[in-house]
Amino acid sequence: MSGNAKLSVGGRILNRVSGGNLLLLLLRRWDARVALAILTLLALSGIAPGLFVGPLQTATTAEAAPLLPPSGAHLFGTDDLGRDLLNLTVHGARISLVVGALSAVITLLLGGGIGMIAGYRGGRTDALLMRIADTFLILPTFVLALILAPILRELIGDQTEILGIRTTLLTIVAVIGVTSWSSTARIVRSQTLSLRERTFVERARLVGLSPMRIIARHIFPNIRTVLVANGIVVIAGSILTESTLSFIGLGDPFQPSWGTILGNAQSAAAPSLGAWWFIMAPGGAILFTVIACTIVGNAIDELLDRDVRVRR
Amino acid sequence: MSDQRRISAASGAPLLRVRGVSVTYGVQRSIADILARRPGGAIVALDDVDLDVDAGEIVAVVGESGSGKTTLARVITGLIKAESGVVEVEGEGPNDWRSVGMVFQDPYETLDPKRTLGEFVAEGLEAQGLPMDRIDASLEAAELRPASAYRDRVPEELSGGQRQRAVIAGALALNPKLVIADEPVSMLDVSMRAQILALIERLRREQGIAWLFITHDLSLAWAISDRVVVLYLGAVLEEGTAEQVLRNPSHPYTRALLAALPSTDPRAAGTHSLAAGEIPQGAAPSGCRFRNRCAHAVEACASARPPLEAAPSGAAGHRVACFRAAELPAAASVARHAPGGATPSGGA
Amino acid sequence: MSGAANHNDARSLPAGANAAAPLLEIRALRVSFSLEDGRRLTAVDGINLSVSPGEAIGIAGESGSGKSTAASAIMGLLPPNGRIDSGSIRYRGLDLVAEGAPLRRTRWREIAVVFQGSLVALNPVIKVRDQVAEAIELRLGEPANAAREKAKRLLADVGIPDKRLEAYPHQLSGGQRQRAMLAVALSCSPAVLIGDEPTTALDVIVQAQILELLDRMRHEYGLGLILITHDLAVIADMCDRVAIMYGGRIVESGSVREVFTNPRHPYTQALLGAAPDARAGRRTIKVLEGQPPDLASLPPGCHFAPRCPLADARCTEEDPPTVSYEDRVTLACHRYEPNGGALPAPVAAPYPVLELGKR
Repeated sequence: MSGNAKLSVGGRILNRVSGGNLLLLLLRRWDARVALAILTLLALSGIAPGLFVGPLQTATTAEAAPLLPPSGAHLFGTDDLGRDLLNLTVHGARISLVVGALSAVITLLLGGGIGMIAGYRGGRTDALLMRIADTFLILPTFVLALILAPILRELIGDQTEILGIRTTLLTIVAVIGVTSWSSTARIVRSQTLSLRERTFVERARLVGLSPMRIIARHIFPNIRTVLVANGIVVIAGSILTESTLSFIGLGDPFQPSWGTILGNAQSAAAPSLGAWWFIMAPGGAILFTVIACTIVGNAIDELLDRDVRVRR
Repeated sequence: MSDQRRISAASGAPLLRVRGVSVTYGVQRSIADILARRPGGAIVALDDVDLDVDAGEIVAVVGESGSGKTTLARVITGLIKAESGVVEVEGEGPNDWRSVGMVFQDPYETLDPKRTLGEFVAEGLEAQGLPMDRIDASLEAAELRPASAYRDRVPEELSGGQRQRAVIAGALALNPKLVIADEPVSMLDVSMRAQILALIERLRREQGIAWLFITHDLSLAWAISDRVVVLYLGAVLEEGTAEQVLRNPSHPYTRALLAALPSTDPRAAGTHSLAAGEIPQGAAPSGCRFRNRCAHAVEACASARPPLEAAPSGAAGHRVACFRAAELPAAASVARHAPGGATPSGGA
Repeated sequence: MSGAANHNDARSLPAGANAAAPLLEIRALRVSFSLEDGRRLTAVDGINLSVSPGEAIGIAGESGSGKSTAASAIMGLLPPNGRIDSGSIRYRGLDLVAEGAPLRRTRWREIAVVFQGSLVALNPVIKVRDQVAEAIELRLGEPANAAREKAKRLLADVGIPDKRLEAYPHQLSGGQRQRAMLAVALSCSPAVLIGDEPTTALDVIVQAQILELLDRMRHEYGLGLILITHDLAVIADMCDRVAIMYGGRIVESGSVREVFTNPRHPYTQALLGAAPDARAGRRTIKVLEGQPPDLASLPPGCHFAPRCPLADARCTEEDPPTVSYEDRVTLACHRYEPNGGALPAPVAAPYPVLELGKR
């Protein structure tokens, strides 16, 4: 079949979303194209910031005058220590990327796994798991992070590294993961509940396939796109949470993150000095990243929704 | 040959033996019901149903939606448990029914959109520990030839008829002696239906597979089956050979079904709704379950449930559950009805 | 039809319409869809059709025949990726294609439709009577009280008992919902009623009840009825004329009696023979091999040629012209010569015949 158009009974033209062509369908929408371009840029910055802006500037390696407005030499201007804000912002992407990706992985593993088990098993297992999920659902992420972050930092020490990632970051990731899995679990559960009633799952049960295999073969592949959409939204949320924590000084002091830069701007009294670029650079990065994530997440959701609507 | 197929076949056990099966669904109460302390109702989906299918036989279960025919299929395949009664395949109870296959109504729903036909057929083989080399043979037995052209395709690339063949291939892979087919052609185009009917008939002839063919379409039942069982609100109202039940119907309900059937044949043209109203959605009425729609109902019909007894035709195996079957006019005069649409409706 | 008080005659026609012109006339209608990969697909390829007051026309075909698309085009309900390429749809001489948007109102008042799935077509949170009354209020501009009275009468007319007037759609049975849909459709006293598989989801006894009702309404109101269905038996039961569609074209049309007793087009023969018939006691079925046509890649020439046992080289190269015979039958098949317009004898296509029920 060329393309993904099919004609159904009643003459409606159908478009079905399947894993492989999701990206292609996304690329047909201009808003998703722009958003994906932003996210690609973010990913590249996070992986190899040196390629774009050279090594990270510190207070000792900074060479420019403090608080220079944007110019040809310093596109985003400089901060109160004379560091190039473009350099800092691009390097800051790595933290956002790591926090976003790890939180999404934890959320999807916990939420997806628990959601699928609850939805497929049903009955008491479902009731128990969903009550637990509800409990976590009402925990305020930010307050929990506020309390846990300093405690964990005290316990482990902020210099320790696990797999090359500083523990302070891991704290943030853990807190975000622990508090955001429950909403994912709810979404996945409801999808699983409806999949369970589909004839192909019933038929798999009938021929004697074990529940774990049914989940692996029939449930998971059919909710993969939902998980992707949800994961992207989780990334946006965790980037925001990380920025907030870093802004109030609970982040990693040795790695610049957008939140940390914003925090610096605050303590350097940038707003009252009229140094708008100090806020603009990290703030814009956060804004565009979160909007891009939301656009891609919504676009996938809409494609899925159309898929479902058209099939019914 | 079908004349010897009596419900209680004396010689040798039938392939499928269903005795006294009853299933009741609880009705969910709304919050208003709970507050008003109204008791939760229960809907009897199947009530004391007997059914036999012999080896190599095609039995049609005919009924409208709400008749319990799909529940019956699910009980036989073990997807739901009967409250009471016995279901045996080759004399064995549930848990070891590799010999029963199932073909569902909607071929678009039965195949996982994400998996190829080969993977679909392999699923049953794998679960039952059978060799994978049967995939191709099963696809070809369902007339998806050559198998190599279909094995790696996903459902999206197939027509409805091809999908239903794939579903049948999935059942054939497990070497069934009986296949339960729940409305297997109702979602297909007319020309595809003929192809699938031909396939079912061929598999019976060549491999001796027995079919329990569940349908709302009397014409399909008439064409494909040796015997017909008419189900209404969970109970058997009439059964016998296709000729007995559909050429000489004894139950007012069977007659109403037949009279309502439109036909392209000018000699049979003109439908007529002999029965009023629709199949009740809640509890069945007392006594005969069809009495509140029946033009022939009398007081006696409300007091007791008519047993399934020998039909007035006297033909072996033809049984009907109606107190008044013997008094009703001969069927032929009912089935014919003058064409002309201006007849006022029988009512709502 | 017999001079039952025809409400259409008494009513004023929309501006631009001509009472002497045919009720509904479709000429050379072509409808196409754009696909996401940029291709265009022709779903309806130059069909002609007309309906007179009180007349019932059946359009039959399988999936991919274009029958539902034709109905959507008449209703102005094509999806955003569909468009009418050429041809005309005239209501009493008024071209609904050319005039465009201002005619939406006319369309809805004069041409009503009943769909298959009436649970989706009715708003689940509004009582049945209010839905009918709302339609009357909105489209005819009648005051609320009068509309509610009229709704009650209409619902009684289609067989909804008084005690069900205040019910919500989900509280009604399938047949009652279809009756309520019919009441909504008739609320503006339309001149044309289109039924798009109106009884397909219903059980056979309820189908017979609804068909009887539709038939009564057609005669009482003098409606022009267009019945779209895959079930030829329903058409045989209900219609005066029939059009058989395949791959977007009408391959054969004519009076139901003529087409069903002497089917000429090989596809009509296959369709009529494909379903067994318990009423007539027929078990033999004709097996039509192959798959329904894929509108995105139709074969050149006659679309049916790949499945036709009578096809020769010409069929796969040239489009068969549609020829009208004695004004009784139209045919698009190379097997039949124009013949000066005299109705040709049917040529039986040798389909494999499956003799079911022979043990």
